[in-house]
This record gives sequence, structure tokens and C-alpha cells, in this order.
Amino acid sequence: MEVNLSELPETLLKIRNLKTYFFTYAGVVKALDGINLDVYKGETMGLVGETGCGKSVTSLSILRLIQPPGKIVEGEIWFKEKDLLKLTDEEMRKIRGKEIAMVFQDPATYINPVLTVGDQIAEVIMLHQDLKKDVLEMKIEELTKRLEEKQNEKLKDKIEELKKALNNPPAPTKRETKKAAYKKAVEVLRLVKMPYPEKVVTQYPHELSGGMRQRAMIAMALSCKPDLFIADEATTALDVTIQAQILNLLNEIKKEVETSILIITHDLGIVAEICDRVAVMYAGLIIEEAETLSLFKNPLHPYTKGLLNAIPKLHGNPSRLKTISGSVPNLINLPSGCRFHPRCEYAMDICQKQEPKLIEVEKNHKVSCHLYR
Amino acid sequence: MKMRDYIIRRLFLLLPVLLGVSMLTFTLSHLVGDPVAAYVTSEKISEERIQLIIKAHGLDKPIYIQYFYYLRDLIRGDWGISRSDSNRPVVESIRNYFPATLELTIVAMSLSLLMGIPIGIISATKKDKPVDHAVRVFALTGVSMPIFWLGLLLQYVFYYQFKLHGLPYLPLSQRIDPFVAIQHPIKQLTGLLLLDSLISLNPYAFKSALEHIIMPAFCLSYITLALIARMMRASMLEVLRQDYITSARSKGLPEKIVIYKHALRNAMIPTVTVAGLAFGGLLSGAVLTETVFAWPGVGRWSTQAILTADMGGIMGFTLLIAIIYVSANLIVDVLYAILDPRIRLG
Amino acid sequence: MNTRKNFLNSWIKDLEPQWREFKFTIYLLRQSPLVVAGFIIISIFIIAAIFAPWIAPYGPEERIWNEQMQSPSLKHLFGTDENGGDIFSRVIWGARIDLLIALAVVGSAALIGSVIGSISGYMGGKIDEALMRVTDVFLAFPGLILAMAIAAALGRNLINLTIALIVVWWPSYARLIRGVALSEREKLYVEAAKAIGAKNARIVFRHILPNVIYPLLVNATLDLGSVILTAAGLSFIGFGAGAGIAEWGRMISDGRNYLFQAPWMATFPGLAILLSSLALNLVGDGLRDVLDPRLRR
Repeated sequence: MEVNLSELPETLLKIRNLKTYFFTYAGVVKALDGINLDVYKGETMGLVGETGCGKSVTSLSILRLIQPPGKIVEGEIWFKEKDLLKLTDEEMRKIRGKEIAMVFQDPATYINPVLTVGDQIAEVIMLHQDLKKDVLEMKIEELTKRLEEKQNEKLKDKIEELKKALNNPPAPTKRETKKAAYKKAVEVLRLVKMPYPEKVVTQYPHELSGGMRQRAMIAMALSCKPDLFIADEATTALDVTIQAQILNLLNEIKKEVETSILIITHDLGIVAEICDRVAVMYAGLIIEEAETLSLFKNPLHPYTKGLLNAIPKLHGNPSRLKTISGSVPNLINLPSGCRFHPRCEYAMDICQKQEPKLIEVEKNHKVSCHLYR
Repeated sequence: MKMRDYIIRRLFLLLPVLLGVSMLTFTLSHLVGDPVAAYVTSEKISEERIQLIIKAHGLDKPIYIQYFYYLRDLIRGDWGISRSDSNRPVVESIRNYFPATLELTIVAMSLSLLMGIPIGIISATKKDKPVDHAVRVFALTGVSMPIFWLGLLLQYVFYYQFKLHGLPYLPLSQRIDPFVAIQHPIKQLTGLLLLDSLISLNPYAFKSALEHIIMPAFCLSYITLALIARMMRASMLEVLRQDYITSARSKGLPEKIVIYKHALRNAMIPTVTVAGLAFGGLLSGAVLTETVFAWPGVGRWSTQAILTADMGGIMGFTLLIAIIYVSANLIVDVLYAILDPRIRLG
Repeated sequence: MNTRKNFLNSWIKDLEPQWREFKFTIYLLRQSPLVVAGFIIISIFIIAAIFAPWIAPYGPEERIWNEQMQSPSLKHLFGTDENGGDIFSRVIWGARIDLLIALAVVGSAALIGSVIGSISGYMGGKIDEALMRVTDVFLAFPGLILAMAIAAALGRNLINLTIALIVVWWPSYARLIRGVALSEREKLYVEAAKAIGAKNARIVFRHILPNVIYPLLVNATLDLGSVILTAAGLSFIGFGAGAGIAEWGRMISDGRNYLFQAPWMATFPGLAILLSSLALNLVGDGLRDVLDPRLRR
């Protein structure tokens, strides 16, 4: 879980100045107003913020799934040397599910109720993977099993023939491809520790429990071993115990699948549990970005401080819960200058006039606040 | 639970419903008129014969016993005499006319589904574009259209005007050209002319039957077509807003698959309900359409029966309608279960 | 005594917020061009029906021998029929009959159905069960066919046609109102009213009925269109208007005999049916959209 940051790791995802606006009758909602975010290879990055600050919009923007009246108006999203915002729809489609995959919040509404779990996993596999070899291997396996039961010269020859063709496998039929894809689906389900995966593959989502459904969604996302795995509030709809299980699962498979994880959540507890680094979001902007430990030990932005102070403590003197005064700003009418200034304890004159920039104050600890110049 | 078990279970539930239906027609026949009239032809017969008939059908017994006689008669196939249909036994009238109506209804329903569903989908996926507006206006005229008038309009254009201008025209009435029926006789297998002519590889009969059925079927299908298109559009729009559609897109699935695999199966569910409910409208429409196109079906027969106070015909027709209705409901339920796995496992 | 006057006054005051809602509904309706168009069209029909004696150039059964089977012209806007009757006038006169029938049917069916439905839903228990079985029986049959049977049994004229249609249509209102009554009954304000000693009848009339108005209105408007279609259809096959009467369905049936020689005979009455039904559906649909709580505001 510890990533050695002394050697600068490869940056997998680089978001620069991303602006996503929603053009509604009431006005223009500036959900993302120029965010910058980095996700390094092999790490678990957290994106924290209150409900409505734009976290989900970020993940949907990365995958370019923003529907009208929303629109990505400006910015760059660099992923593996390519700016995702400049790709054609067709090219983007190839990346979805294959190189970047996403798991959503509520497994009850985010899985199609009329299709089996196996179908929904297999379709991703069939879409993005070339299964010629797998089909062949499957055939070889079947024949080998039959050979064990009945010793037959013809079977032996057939097996040899197929084995030779492994280097240049023939094009399989649709049925064979489907069978191979289903087999792989079972393997992925096993990977996410789903009990009785062979049975689950034939079942419908409503026959599974909440935790199992979430595992199924994770399986769908991981089936093609994506480089970036985005978990958008993936555990919010689950019981706390299941939540812990899922988080552990994510940790374990990160290494096995060789993926990087971007976790979007409002729960600082989750961040503390599994994130290497974390970015804090407020009203459409990233206001602090740091290694998890540094953030918790030394929060710089007043908002972050407020968030951490608001966590009730089990030890020490019991006192009134500290809250952050005021409420989240209306994303149509934003306060001038720093967006947090109306609620900030440390507000100064300049905070009203000028928007602070995100600058690196300590090593690997960026913050956007006029307190630090 | 498997599909097979679900179907068997629903079939079992059918029996008490059918029983209830028979009770209904029994009550009706006693309320509306003299139950004897159903078993008597239009000729004058002697008092003795009337007494014999009364005895044979148990009409002199107390009312609850009469009901069992009635049931017995129904099961035995004695549904009375249809005076308006040349004094034929009611079962024979039904056997004669029902296939015609069935064929008309099936073709009309197929047209409604085959055209209505795609129209609804296109309207939903191209929301607010000109196509969508056109479809919405069409749907509105659909539910406001007097079918009998539409039928006349179709006849005027596709028969009269086309003929006048030397274009190939559609026939005015009947199921098939009488000349073709004589020269290329059809084997009466199912009574559904299109099917029979296909099975017996009779292209001339098939062509003629097809020509004759197109106008009435389209006329009959119009309202249901509009309803289905409207429902399909509404439910597609609803489904496309759902979260699992976002999921499907996030997997990189091409939009065509998102729409036709993920969205469609969900959107079909309420549409099937509407289609099933519209079936009653089809039966009513059949009565009007058969009159306009002189189609020899049960709709026209029922109109004659009612106009001439043919008790046997009226009762037989009522029973038939009820049975059809109940069966249609069963089929809709089964379709529902096929489409929505949540239903059959509950 | 004073209590009755107070009852009326307090009832009116209770309805004040609903009056405001009503005005807001009208405002929303004005926004949709389709609804406005529908409203205008049906108003034209209504005005034509009411002022027929002054608007129609000729009487409904006026025959002009010499001018039979004429195609539309300035003198006879919609042409004439085989008896020399002016189709234009007959269509206007026909509006009286068809619209009146529609109003009578929907009005009566809604009234009867509402009362029965309210009682059924509010009382619950055995009464509810029994009444619902009865409506089931009626709803089991396709409307046109049931109306046909009833009209035939009673005798084939317009009055009996109206009665037959009322019998066919009331069950759906009973069902609708029963549903509303059931859900309203569970609401807390009914318990509160009971707690202060209000009698059942008062609760039904003063609390439940006003909440029932909107879905009722939507259904009624849409049904007006359906009834026009059904009534005309039944007249067409011979169950309503007798020969020679200027009723739209009947006119189409008459026109059928001369379809190829004088197509205008059947065309214009049919157009009238289509347009009036369409207008009512437009308004009804618009009402339904506007009253959908999700779409308001």
C-alpha cells in the first residue's frame, strides 16, 4: 500500500483545468470550474468532498459520459499520452471499460435488472478482448477431460492438432466466443471473492444481496484489467461491515490486476483506510492535495481543517461538535474570490477579491489558499 | 421458478375464471330474454317440440340445476342455434367466422407491433427533432381516429382512386378473390387463409388473401399502432434516464447495443401491458372494420345477431369474447414473465 | 339555520388554496401551443353546437330537391347528400347531438361512478369487495360490444344509446375514485377530522371530493373524446341515430352508400369526429402533463 514517492512515479492520469458546466433553465451550474488532478501509476488516490461539490461529475467527465444539459467546456485530460477530450467518440468508446473502468454507487440501480450477471460481465469481455486463443484452450481442455475418461487415439490426435494451432488460432464461432467469455466471467467473479461464481453467472441481480451485487459490478469493471479503476462512492449504499470487506478487496486486487484506483467518496474514514494520496474538493475546485498521512496530520486548508475537526472523537474531553458555519454555495451564483471565504474562520480581505491558486506548499502537499503564499 | 412452472400455474388459474365467465353468460341469458330462444330456430315449431327442447336442456328445473345443464351443454358443444346465421348451430357459426376474425386481429396486432415499436424507439432516441414531433402528432390522431371512417377513406383512395387512375388497386371487400378461390382452392387447415396458402404452397391464393387483408388489417391496427408507439416512446425515455444505462455506456458498449440490448428489454415491459390492454380495443374495432370491409368474421356476425335479436348468437358471441379476453390476458402475463425475470422468481 | 350557511362558507374558505392551484394550472396550460390549439378547436365546436340555429344556413333535415349530390361549392360548403340536405349545416347540427351525448354520458358516468367509488373506497370491507366485483364484470368486456348489447336490448335510439354508454363508462370512474378515496382515507387529516367528531358524510364531501377533482377532470376530458368515437361508431352500425337524423356517425353510414359518387358525404362528418376527438385529447393530455406532480414547477 505504501508507494515510494521519492522516485517520481509515472503519472497515469493528468487533469488540467477541467471545466464542466450544466446549462439549465435556472442558470449555468459550474460543477467543475477548472480542476487539476494527478493520479500516479499503481496508487490509490482519493477524491473527497461533500455531496454536490462535483466529485461524481469529475469521474463522469473523465469517461466523457456527461449528458446534456451538461458539457465539458474546457480543459485537458491526459491519459497515457493522449488527451481524452480530443479523441473521437469511437476512440473514447474503446477506452471505456477496457483501459478506464468505473464502479458506481448504488448496485441496485446501476445494474440492469433484466439481464443476468454473467451476461453483463461477458459482454464487456467479448467487446474488448480477443478470445480466439481462449476458445482454443477451452476446446483443448474439454477434449483432454474426455481423454481421461476414454482412451481414444483419435482424441489424442485432435488434441495435438489443436495444440499446434495455438500460435495461430482460427476464428471461433459466436457461440464458442460466448462460452469462453462466460468462463472468464466466472474467473473474474472468483477474483472478487464472489461465493459460488458458477451459479451467480446465471442469476439475475435481484437474486443477489447488496454486497454481492457490488462485487458483481466490480467484476464487470475489472474484467478487462483496466489501467485506471474509478470507484464512485462505491461503498456508500452498503452496510459498514460489507463496506470494509469491499475496501479490503479493492486493495488486494489492485496488485493482482495491476491497476490504479481513484476513489471518490465523502467519507474521510475510507480515505484514511486505503488511500495513498487524497485531493479535497469544494464547490467545483480542488483545494488541497496531499499524501493521506500528511493531510490528516497537517491539514492546511481551513475547509480541510474544519472537516477533520468535525469528526467526533472517542477520547479526550467530550465537547460540542464543531461544525463549519454556513452552507455549501450555490454553484450558479458563486462567491467572489475564494469560494470558501464566507465560511472561513481565517478570511482576509484578499480572500474576497482574488481566487487563490493551487500551489505546492510542502513536498507533495498542494493547497489553494491565501494563507500560504 | 422455471418458466414452465409459471405457465402451468397460470393455466390452472384459468379454469375458475372460465367457470365464472360461464356463470356470467348464464345469468345474462336469463336476465335479458327467454333462454329457450337460444335453442330454437326461426321456423315456427309446435308446442310439443318446444316442450321437448325445454326438457332436453333442463329448463324446467330449478335455476341452480339449470346452470349444470347449461355447463353440460357448453362442454358437449351445444351452444344453441344462431337464427341470424341461417339457423346454423352456434358452434358452427363460430368455427366459420372465428378464423377470419382471428387472422385479421393477428395481422393487425402484428402490424401495430412491427411498426409501433420501432417508431416509438426512433421517436425517443431522436427526441425533439422533427421525426419526434411527427410521431407525436401521429400518435394523437391515432387515438382520435374513427376507424370506420378511416376504412372508408382507405377504400376510396386505394380502391376507387387507384382504379380510376389505372394504378394497381386493392380489393374492396371479402377475404379472397372468388375466382382465385375456385381456380386455386386452398386446403382448409387452420382457417387462416394466409397460413393455409403458405403451407399448401399456393402462391396465387396467398397473393389474393394478402391483397384482401391489407386494408382492413391496417385500418384495425391504426389505433393500437398509435398507442404502442406512444407507450414505447414514453417508456424508452424513462428507461434511458436510468442509472444502468450510464453503467452500460461506461463499459464502452456501442450506443446501438445500449439501446437495443439494455434499454429495449426494460422499455418493452410497460409496452406489453399496453398492447395487452389494447386487445379489447382490437375486438371492438374488429366489429366496425368487419362491417366496413364486409369481412366474414365474428364481429359482423355479432352485429347481425344483435340487430335481429338472435339469442343463441348473442350468447355464443358473449361467451366467445369472454374466453378470448381471458386467454389474451394469460398470454400477456406470460409475455410479462418472459421479459421481466423479477416476476417469475417472485 | 345558520349551521348550513356556515357549512357552505367554511367549505368555500377551505377551498381557497385549491383555487390558487387552479389558477396556476390554467397558467401552465396556456404555455403549451398544442393544448391551446385543442382548446380553441373544441370551443369552436361547442359554439357551433350551441348557436346552430343561427349559424347553420339550412335546417338539419331540410331537403332541397334539385340540389342533390352536389359537390362542395360556395352555396353548399360541404356539398349536399342524396336528399339535397346541406352537409355543412348537418355537420353543425350533428355537433349538437354528439357533443350533448358525450357530455351527458361522461357527466352521468362520472357522477355515478364518483359516488359509488367514494363510498366503496371510504367504507371498505364487504361493500368495497362487492362493488369492485361488479365493476370487474363490466370492465371485462370491450366497451363498444357491451354498449352494443345494451343498446340492442333497450331499443335502438339515441336516448338508449346514451344510457348504454353511461352503463359502460361508470365503472372506470368508480375504480378511479375508489383508488383516490382509499389513499385519502389513510391520510392523517381524515383521522384528525374524525377525532373532532366529523361524521363520515361530511368527511367524504368536504375533504375527499376536492382532492379527487383533478384526476377526474383529466379522465373526463379524455373520455369525452372516446365517447364521441364510440357513439358515432355505434350509430354507424345502426344502434343509435335512426335514418335521416343529422348525427355524425349516421351521416357516415348514409354517405357510405354513395362513397364513390359523393365522397364528401362521408368525409366531412368523419373529419368532424376526428377533429373534435383530437381537440379533446390534446386538452386532456395537456391537463394530464400539467397535473403530474413531477412536472409541476
